[in-house]
Amino acid sequence: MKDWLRAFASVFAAFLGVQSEENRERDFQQGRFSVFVVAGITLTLGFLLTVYVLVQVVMSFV
Amino acid sequence: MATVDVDLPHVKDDDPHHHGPAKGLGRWLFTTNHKDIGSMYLIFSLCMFMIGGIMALIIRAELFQPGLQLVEPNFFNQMTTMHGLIMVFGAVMPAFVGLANWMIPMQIGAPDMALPRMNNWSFWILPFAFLILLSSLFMPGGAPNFGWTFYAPLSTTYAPESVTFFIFGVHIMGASSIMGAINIIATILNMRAPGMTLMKMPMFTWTWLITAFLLIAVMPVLAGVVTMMLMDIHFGTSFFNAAGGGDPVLFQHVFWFFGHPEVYIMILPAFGIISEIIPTFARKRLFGYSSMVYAVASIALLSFVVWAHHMFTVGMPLVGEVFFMFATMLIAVPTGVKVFNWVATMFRGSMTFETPMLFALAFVVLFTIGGFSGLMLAIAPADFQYHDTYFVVAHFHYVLVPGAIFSIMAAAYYWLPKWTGHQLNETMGKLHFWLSFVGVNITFFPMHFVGLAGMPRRIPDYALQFADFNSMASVGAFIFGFSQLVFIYNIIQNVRVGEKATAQVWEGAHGLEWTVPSPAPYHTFSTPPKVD
Amino acid sequence: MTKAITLALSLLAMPAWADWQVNMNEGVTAISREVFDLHMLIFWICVAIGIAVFGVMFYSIFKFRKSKGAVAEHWHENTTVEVLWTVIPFVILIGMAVPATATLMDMYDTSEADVDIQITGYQWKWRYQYLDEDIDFFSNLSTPREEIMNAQAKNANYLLEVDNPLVIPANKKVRFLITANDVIHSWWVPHFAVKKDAIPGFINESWVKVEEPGVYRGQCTELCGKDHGFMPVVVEVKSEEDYAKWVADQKAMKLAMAGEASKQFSMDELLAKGEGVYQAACAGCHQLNGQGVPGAFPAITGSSIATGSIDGHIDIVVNGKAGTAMQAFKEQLSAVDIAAVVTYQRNALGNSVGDMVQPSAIQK
Repeated sequence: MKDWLRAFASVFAAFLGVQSEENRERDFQQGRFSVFVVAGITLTLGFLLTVYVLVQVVMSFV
Repeated sequence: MATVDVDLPHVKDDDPHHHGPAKGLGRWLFTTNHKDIGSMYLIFSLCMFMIGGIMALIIRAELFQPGLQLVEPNFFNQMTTMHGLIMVFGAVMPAFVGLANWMIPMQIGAPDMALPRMNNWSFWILPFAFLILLSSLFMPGGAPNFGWTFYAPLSTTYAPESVTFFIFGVHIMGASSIMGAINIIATILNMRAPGMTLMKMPMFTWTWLITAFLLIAVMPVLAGVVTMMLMDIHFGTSFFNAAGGGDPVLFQHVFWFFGHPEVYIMILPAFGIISEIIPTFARKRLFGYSSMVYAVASIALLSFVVWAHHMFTVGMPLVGEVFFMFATMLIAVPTGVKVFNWVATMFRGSMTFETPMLFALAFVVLFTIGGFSGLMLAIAPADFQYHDTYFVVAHFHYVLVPGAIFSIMAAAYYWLPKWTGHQLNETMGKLHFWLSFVGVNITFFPMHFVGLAGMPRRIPDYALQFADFNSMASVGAFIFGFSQLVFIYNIIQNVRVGEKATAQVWEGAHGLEWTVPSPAPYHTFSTPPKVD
Repeated sequence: MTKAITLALSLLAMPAWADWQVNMNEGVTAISREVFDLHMLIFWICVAIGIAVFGVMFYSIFKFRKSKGAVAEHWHENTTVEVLWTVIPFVILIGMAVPATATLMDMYDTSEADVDIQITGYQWKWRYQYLDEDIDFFSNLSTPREEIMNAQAKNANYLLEVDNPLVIPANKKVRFLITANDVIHSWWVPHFAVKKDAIPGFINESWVKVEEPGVYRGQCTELCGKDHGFMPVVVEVKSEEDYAKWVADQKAMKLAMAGEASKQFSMDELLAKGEGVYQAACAGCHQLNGQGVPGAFPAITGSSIATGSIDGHIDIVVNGKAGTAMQAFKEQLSAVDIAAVVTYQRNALGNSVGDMVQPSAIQK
């Protein structure tokens, strides 16, 4: 579980373009690749959904 | 990147099983050596750069003054189309693949690419793809004339007959790119020297790993869209023909679903190169290496969800328009932040300004200017005024010429001593740099002005108010074009003569490639180095 | 950073550089001015960021040179700084998105229009149909060939002039229904900030409300083939009274044209008229001398159609040939024009069939 949370946090940091050396060493030493792929895809979909919801909210003002 | 400490017992090639290159033409035809294939890719790319450049000069010569002077409008359209296709698929992409072939095995301590025979094949189909494409210039009806984005139905129902050859050529290029990408992924994931963990890999290798995944993801989409065109043209389907129940806008969606990741395919390896060169000449480690790796990965993912910002004027519903505007603005941030990292790398460093560094610094400044105009283009309502004008031409030339192409030139100057074993002639290198720098800006900066003032792109003739800036751009184009002869002269002279280069070459350089002698022996790392 | 933005915003009040022809046209509608303001806002944001980034960069280049004895420091990351320089542009962009979205919504609100005009892109001309009036005409480039080929001095509106401009009333909301007949075109008038792709088989909407009468010029902005650079858009905005008068004139002209079609013409009359029609409608592809372009556009001279049965000849001019660049001219040309140009093609350009056709025989 902790692995997953870390992976999501790391991928989120990646979307912002920020990550510390310390976290990266941890990710690359302990993390499983597949976990990061799943986190990446999930967060991309999450990003899409967020923008979509945002757009729907904006549209409701039309 | 962690400092690489190498224990390197086998610099000399004392294994009798290994041998030097074969003699004669056979060496090049049958080679499976990553260095030979890398050289062939780079030479091929340089030839294509010259051919595409001549086409650009024909375009600029016609646009030097208002009125039709040199070419017919139809031939002008053939020139803009072929210029774009050749520069994107023939010059920029093969150059990056060539650099990857040369440098990735040397950067990760591998003896060669993972799939050497496929490597040979993926190069050798490329010249044929471009022969097919270029031969269409001599066909009745002429070469493709529908722009490098080949929007249907101009490229289907209304296309010259040579469009079928164009489709075939694109298929071959796509196959070549996919094979190259598979090879790069297989090499990086399987052939790293002991101790060369992913997190120690140089930025250039990292960016190429991610680029290779992008290539595998989108080249089939390109192949798909040209196949749909082929079906529409020859087999009676109506994918893009409204009269048969299809939709011309579908073409644009599919094309840009390939096209936007393609933009990143052409710039991520450039990010890698610049991230190698700036630390070397600032004598300071890359600022935020970890952020950089993570951000490149996320940029690659997000590049798939912004494609329709190329199509703001096609009449998408308001929801779509707003969605793609927001998404584009949001992902612009991590891309832009990379520039801050390079600047922070320079800050409190100890800089010198050899030719590769000059190109890298020009890259940072001019790519950023291209990024700014990109940000402006993301604002959908303003994009209605920019779309398909010279403002867009200025934008993408700023990211591709002083962006991608300057990074390739920087890479060539940076690694040339390692390839040829000769020290660079700095005077000639600097001459090339300054001529290119001045030429590029005289060419492309005024295009912002005429674009904003209302000049559409892809027109062979224009209204009088655009005349002055167009003359200026044409002068700049000829300066930039002819200054590339200095580049060729530099390369030839460097291969033939020049002071002997040391293994280290550049004082501040780090990485495995600098531990082998210059020139790099035909086989390097036959015994893997140990990286701590 | 905030200081830089305040500075940038205050500079917005400065007059634009439009006079020097380096900037966007501010335009003549409320929307176009909003777009212009968005453009200037994002521009100054970029300038501010640029000054900050390039400032640090050039400071480093001059200050931290090895030749000046600079010694490299060893730090290479700082998460706080990185988060900061990510969040600040993020916030700026969100600030930017708000006015941009508002403008976009205005642009998409095509409701309650006073006048509806259908705009159809053809290779390489525009067709304007007034849906509420019975007005329908084509708008072709009117710059003489001699000016394009540099045989004559170019006039001030070179390449931005047409035979029949689109005429719209001032202070009315005019809705455009934009489509195309062959390939994709794009209808653009910079002063209105209206640019919309004209897509065959689909209809896009856009609108404009211009306060001041005047003439506004634009061009096609989507590559549409050979003469993409030669299909300008000219819009004449007239005051309401002048517009009403123009509409009445158009209708009167249409009646006069109908009378013309039943008249009998002599061979010489048809040939004289046909030459002009040929040069305007046909010569772009088939060339002035009728030789065509091998591989792309067939020759008229000696062609089996132009020297064969006259009915087949009329049919291809009237209905076009599907799947090729040969358009159906039934809507573009009057019966008189078609009769004249068919007669001309059969008895000029090296052909001498000897027959002729009267406008009354043209079945459209």
